[in-house]
Amino acid sequence: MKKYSFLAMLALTAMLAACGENEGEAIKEQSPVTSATDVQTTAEEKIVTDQLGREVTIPERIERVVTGGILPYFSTWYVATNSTKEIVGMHPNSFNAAKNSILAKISPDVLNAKTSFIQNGEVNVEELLKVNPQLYVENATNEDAINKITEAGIPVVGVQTIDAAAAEPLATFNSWLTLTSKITGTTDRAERFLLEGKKVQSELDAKLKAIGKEDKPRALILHMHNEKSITVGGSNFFGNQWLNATGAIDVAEKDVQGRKEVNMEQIYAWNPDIIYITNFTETQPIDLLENKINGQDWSQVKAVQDGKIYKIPLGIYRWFPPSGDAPLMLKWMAQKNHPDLFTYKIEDEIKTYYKDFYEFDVTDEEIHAILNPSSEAAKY
Amino acid sequence: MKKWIIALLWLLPFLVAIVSLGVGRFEVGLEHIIKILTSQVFPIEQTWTNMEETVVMNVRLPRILLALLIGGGLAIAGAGFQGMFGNPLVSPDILGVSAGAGFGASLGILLFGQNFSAQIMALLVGLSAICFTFLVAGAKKDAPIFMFVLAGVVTSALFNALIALIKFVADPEEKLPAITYWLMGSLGTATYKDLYIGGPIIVLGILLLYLLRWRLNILTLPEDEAKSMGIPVVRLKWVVIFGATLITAASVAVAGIVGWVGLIIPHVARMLVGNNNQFVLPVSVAIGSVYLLIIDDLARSLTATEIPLSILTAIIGAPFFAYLLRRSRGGWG
Repeated sequence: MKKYSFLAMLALTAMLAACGENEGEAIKEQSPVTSATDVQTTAEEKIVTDQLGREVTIPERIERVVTGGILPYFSTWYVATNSTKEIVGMHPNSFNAAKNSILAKISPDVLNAKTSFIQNGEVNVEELLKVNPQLYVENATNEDAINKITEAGIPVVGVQTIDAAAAEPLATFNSWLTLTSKITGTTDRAERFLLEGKKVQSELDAKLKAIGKEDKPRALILHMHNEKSITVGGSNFFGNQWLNATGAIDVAEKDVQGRKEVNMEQIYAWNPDIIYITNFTETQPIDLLENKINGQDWSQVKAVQDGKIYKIPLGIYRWFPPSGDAPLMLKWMAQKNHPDLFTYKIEDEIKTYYKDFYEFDVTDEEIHAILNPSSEAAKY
Repeated sequence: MKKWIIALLWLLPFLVAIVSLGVGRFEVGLEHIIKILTSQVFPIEQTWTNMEETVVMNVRLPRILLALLIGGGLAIAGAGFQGMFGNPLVSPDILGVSAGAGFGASLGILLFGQNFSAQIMALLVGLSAICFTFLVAGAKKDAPIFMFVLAGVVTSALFNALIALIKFVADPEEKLPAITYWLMGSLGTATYKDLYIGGPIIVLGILLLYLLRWRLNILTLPEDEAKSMGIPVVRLKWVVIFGATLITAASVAVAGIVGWVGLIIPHVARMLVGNNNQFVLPVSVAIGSVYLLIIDDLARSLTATEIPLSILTAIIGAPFFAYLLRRSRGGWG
């Protein structure tokens, strides 16, 4: 343990030192830019700090942006700007989610985005240059892509996923939103979302305060699933935080870090009261409820016996990762965990939220589709 | 060899299997296990929960049976090959079957997802890999043995490259982890269906090799000498290869690629009973099945997540093997 903390200290010191250096460089870099603007006032540029702590110089007004390996990010752009026409390219997996989501109806411009610059998960810089973006948004962990694209002369903003806010989805989304509003200069909209998220969370907290640990349902996030493999989510992953925020106990918290493959025996040992199925698998609640999975007997599990198997909805993006629908996700899951405590009609909540924040009148059919996402949307 | 040792060797797999029924993340008491097993034959009053019965009968039993079969099968296949090639470094995948079956399964997962089709593809491509090896070796009647080994190396290299290609193309979010995990071997989702698919084929392969056990000794003689004794050397080799291939391809199809068992278990067997293949083969089955069963018990009980088999077979097998090597100073037989 001691050894470990020593290593942590060492790493921390190294990081701090690195930060210090970065700042020094940034000041050096910054000064020529400022002097350039002094000389030539038409060069409209600004500097934003991305989630890697890098200072990135970007154009003042961005009309062409491409989103890469940070799959849910495009929906953040929409939330921050109320527009998707700037998104001229995105990861093929993002595109597939967008195509199957209601965002395609709310803001059809999103379907004009090009995807061909990413093949098999790798960015082809020449194809990317053809799309001619002014800004590229990439997952902070993908240093290779960030360096490669920066060298090609395109400013890259790195965005973190679970590291941005300790896997807390609402806070993660808020951090993306704050960064995006700095990029685009549209702070008003971002501010409204931040307030709404806080409001919903404090409403939940107020009601959940009275709930003792023993009255909280024990829930499991089924992340990916088929006949031959069962992958569940655990601590340090979005599902864990959703469950904690909505008054449930994550059964896999102690045993699973991130997402891991487990066997049926482990599921029996956990015996959860509720199972949430993500949109990353084609499995539907009915498959477990009717025990349709060959070789896996789910009928023994309490959640199945009680009929408490739920598919996580898909709105402007999958609700499981951070998205613009995060406040709705909180309400939805809180109600599933404590139906007696939260008596609102989730359909009405969705309708109001979409009207307020996306200025979109969502029909009953569309709401049904959001709450019952098809297996198609799981395919990348 | 003493009678009681033989009896013990054959009893061991059954004993370990019974104990293994009680090993796992979900706790089931020994009393309940015995009662559950008894209740399958005699009607007795149910004092255990349905979930306990599901765990014992539907989760643990099929994978215990599969671990026994695959462990024993791979061990006898390795022993057969080592006897036939007269080379202690040979393992059942030397002729490219594992790589071929691995490619078949990877392609299957890529095209159809993880299901029955992927298993059938593993089996078929594994079997065609061996045909490819024969083609490369020049399937003449008297192709020298080193040609087979070389051809096997070529086949393995080719199929491993194809596996790498599949991994490169596979979607990194869903398919790639599935393929990677699968290539390391696991019985995590073993079902009776897997047992019905793989079981008969593996049993057939084991029987073939078991029946040939004393003839393998003759194969170690120079070929002319063997021929002079009236043994159809070429045909014999084909049957050994066929048997080992059936076992290897079927185990890859149901459990992924399980390394090490086929290489080290025959050595352990030879340390116990000497070089006579008549004893080495059956003893390999007994030790191999127990070994893989214990490994699988660890794989499913050490942590909440399943640990791939090949990791454990090597991490536990390699030091153990090194210890045995030092003790015997490489001299057996």
